[in-house]
Amino acid sequence: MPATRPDLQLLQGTLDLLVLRALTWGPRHGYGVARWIEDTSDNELRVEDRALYVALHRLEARGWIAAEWGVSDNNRRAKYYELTSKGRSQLTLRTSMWTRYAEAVFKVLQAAPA
Amino acid sequence: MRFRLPGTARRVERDVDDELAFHLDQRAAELERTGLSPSAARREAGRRFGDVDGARRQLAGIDRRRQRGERRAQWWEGVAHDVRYAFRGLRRDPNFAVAVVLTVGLGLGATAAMFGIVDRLLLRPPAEVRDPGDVGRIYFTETFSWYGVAIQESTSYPDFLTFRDHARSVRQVAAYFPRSASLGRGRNARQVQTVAASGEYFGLLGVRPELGRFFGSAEDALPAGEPVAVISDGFWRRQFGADSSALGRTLDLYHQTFTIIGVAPAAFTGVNLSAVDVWVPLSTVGATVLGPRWEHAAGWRWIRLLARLAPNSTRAQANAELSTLYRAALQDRHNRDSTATVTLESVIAARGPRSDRSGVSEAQISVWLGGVALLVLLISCANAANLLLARAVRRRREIGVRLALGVSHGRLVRQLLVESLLLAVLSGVAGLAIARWGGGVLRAVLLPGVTWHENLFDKRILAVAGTLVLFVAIATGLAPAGHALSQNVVSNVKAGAREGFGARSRLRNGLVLFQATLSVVLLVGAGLFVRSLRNVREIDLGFDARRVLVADLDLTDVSDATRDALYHLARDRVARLPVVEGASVALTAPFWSALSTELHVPGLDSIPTSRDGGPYVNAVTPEFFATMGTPIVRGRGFTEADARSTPRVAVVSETFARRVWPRHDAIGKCMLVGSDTAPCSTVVGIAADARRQSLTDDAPVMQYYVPLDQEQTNEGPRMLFVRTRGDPRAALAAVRRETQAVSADLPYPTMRYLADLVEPEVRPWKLGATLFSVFGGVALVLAALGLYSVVAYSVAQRAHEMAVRVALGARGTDLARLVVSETLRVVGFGLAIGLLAALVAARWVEPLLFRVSPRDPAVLGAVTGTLLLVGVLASLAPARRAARVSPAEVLKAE
Repeated sequence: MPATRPDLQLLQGTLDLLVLRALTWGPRHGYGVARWIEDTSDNELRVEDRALYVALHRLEARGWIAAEWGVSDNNRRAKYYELTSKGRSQLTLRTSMWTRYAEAVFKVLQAAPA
Repeated sequence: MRFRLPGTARRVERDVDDELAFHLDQRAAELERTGLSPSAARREAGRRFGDVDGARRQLAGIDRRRQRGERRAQWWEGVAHDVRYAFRGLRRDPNFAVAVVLTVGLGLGATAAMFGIVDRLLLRPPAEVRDPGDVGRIYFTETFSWYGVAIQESTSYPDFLTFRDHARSVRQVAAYFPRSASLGRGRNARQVQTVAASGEYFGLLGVRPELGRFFGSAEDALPAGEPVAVISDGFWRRQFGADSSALGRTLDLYHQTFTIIGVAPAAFTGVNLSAVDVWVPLSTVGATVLGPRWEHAAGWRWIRLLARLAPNSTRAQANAELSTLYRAALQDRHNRDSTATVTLESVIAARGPRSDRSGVSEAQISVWLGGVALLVLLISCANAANLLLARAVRRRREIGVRLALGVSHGRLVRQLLVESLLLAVLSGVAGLAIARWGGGVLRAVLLPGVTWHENLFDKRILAVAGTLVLFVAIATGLAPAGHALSQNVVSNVKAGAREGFGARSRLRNGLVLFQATLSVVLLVGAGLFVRSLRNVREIDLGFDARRVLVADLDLTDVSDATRDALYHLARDRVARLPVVEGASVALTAPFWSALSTELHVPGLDSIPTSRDGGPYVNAVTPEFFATMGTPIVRGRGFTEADARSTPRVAVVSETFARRVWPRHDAIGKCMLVGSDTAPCSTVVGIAADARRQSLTDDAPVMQYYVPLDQEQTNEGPRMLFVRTRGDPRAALAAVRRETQAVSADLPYPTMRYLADLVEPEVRPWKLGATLFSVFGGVALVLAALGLYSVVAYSVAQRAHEMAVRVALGARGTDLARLVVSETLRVVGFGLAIGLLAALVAARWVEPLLFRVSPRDPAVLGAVTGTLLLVGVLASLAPARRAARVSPAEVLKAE
């Protein structure tokens, strides 16, 4: 891991979006979500595990994801999270919002002097 | 096996621990795969995670909050479900629902209606008055030689000025004088209710005008104020269609022309509850009421006083200061009554001290009836609980099955409570409808003079009704809920409904017993009041009030000669009417006015006095005794021959004769009426005693009569007495027409029924008798229904036992007797407790009764008989059913 580059700080609300996205393809436990984010972002996005779990539990309280105890690949009891229909529509909404936001910021940064 | 909802707080923490441990293990394993030693991998996993302990606490907190929210939502969902379930259940059993709703509705309606009345009379301060807690009425407690200690609420104008100008403990003092007056003249004349108020009145009460302005001290100047008037909102609407052009218009009142300057807000009636049409400055009517120099008349008690406390002074300080001022004023008038006290009392009239010692106030009765209404509510609750219980017993199998299926006791109890809450709410709606209808009737009967601005669905009444509904729901729901909890699941599902009947039957019997007990109490109350009323009605008044009209022609602004001429003319015209038996003119009317004058009897140093202020004099025309129905016991009454120019004569009452001439015949004796130099009035007849002021006070009636033509002072108003042939109500219009035809310039003649003058004295008992009877009747019907339902149910439940008895040789009549005697046992027990309670309560009812002992054997006997009869009637139909039990059929049905 390149120590010379600072970790990218997550913008407010982005972690929720990443968690929801991680659960699009089916239930995962907390560790699975963490790994998915790390792998998919090529370790560019470093999420503190604690923050990830807080996000998971908050999303559960909000009813966007639901939790159920299941058995992991290595035969251990693990808590699996799953998108609810409410979570799914939130994901769609927030993805489009985030994309518009990112594009707008990008446009501004790319702008040539008038 | 049990399904458990996601569990307790401890479980939440364990889940968080498990989840985090799993994560750390996975992470460590992954790190080990990259070549770290197991212990280094653990450390690195922990480092990457961050603050594990903090996370644990934070996550558990989030989860606990979530769980609480979910539980709440679940609970509400359950309640919604229960409500739907209860609705379905009631729709399936409409007879039951209607029975409960009507029963409880009746109790709730009665209670709400009574509360409305008690609230209006005793609890609610007068409308539109600012800071009513600081305002009080002034009452006077004094010792009178002929009466003893008495409380007065009226006083003289000079006393008002003393308080107003010298009292420091009160910020303001205001005087007012309510009086009905004639508005307009001749055929268009009408009667209006006026209040003559001092200039401080509106300012003291802090009321704001709806339109225009109020009058103040400037308009209330002495000796004669400015003729300006403030009208009430009601009068403004009726008379002027709520048009603002009413300001500046004039009113013909008190022989003056008043200009309207303002309109008072709708609910404002001053501090009294009866409606007011017009307020005028006190000084504009003083001369009309008391004649010239009215403002100096210290002997006339006519105005009532209000005061507002000064900031930082207490009622005790005000009482002390006002009393000192008053005693000083009395001393200036050579009255050394050192016991005289002045007190500032509640502005709510019904809470003030009672001014007369005998009799019972409507407020007192209302409070009692409020209690009675509550009793009826309790009875109806017991009835409803009984019905619910019977239903719960019918539903035992259903409940048993639900318990067996794992429905928790809590759920089940909640469901039963929701059911009774639903019933209570429906009953509350029914009750408000009943209260709205019945309350109107009650108000009209109880308080005919009171105006009601707040409608029934007022905040306070709704709040009380809501509380009652809740109370009913809990009271009626508890029994079935307790019953459900005591269920033995297995036996209920397995067995028929017969087992365990005994305990339930005891509870239901207990409820019926409770109802019977309360009914007895109410019926005893009804009996006592009915007897009191009858005793009051049977009092010999000494005159026959039933068919007599009393007319007041309001002729204060004409000369004495003209006035007497007009009255005689009216008497002659009215007497010629076919509906009229006779008419006469007199100075005073019983229960209305009284007159006493100087009287000397040769040979006596002083005339014996009576407690009610007598001896009183009345000047009458010859037909008076016949018109009133007061018999002349001995001697003769007056004739037309007893004229101004002939020797003076007098008629005295029996008590007068007995007390003034105890050892001689009164007839032929001499009395000096008016002054000690007056010529002799020879007593020519003795009239029966006639009551003057109080029905219940047995003070001797010291009364004498002189012919109107020989009356010396010529002061004061006259009254026209008319005896009609039939119902005086039917003759009223004709009598009024003839009276008004006497002169085109006549103010509106006030017509009263003599019976109505007496009626206020009778009303408390009439009220008590009527309402106790109504409530007692309702209670009895409810108790009878409850009894019937319990007996009928028990017979149905015991069909098996009955069948066995028949099979063993019992006859139908034996079974019927068994049912009746078991019913009577419950009734008898209730009767015994009820009578006991009534005897205990006797102490408190006694002052409300009239010549009836609260332990009156006739009343207690009648109630006992009634209740036993009801018991027999309620058990008759079920007994017949029991007598017809056929063993074959019953056993086949099983």
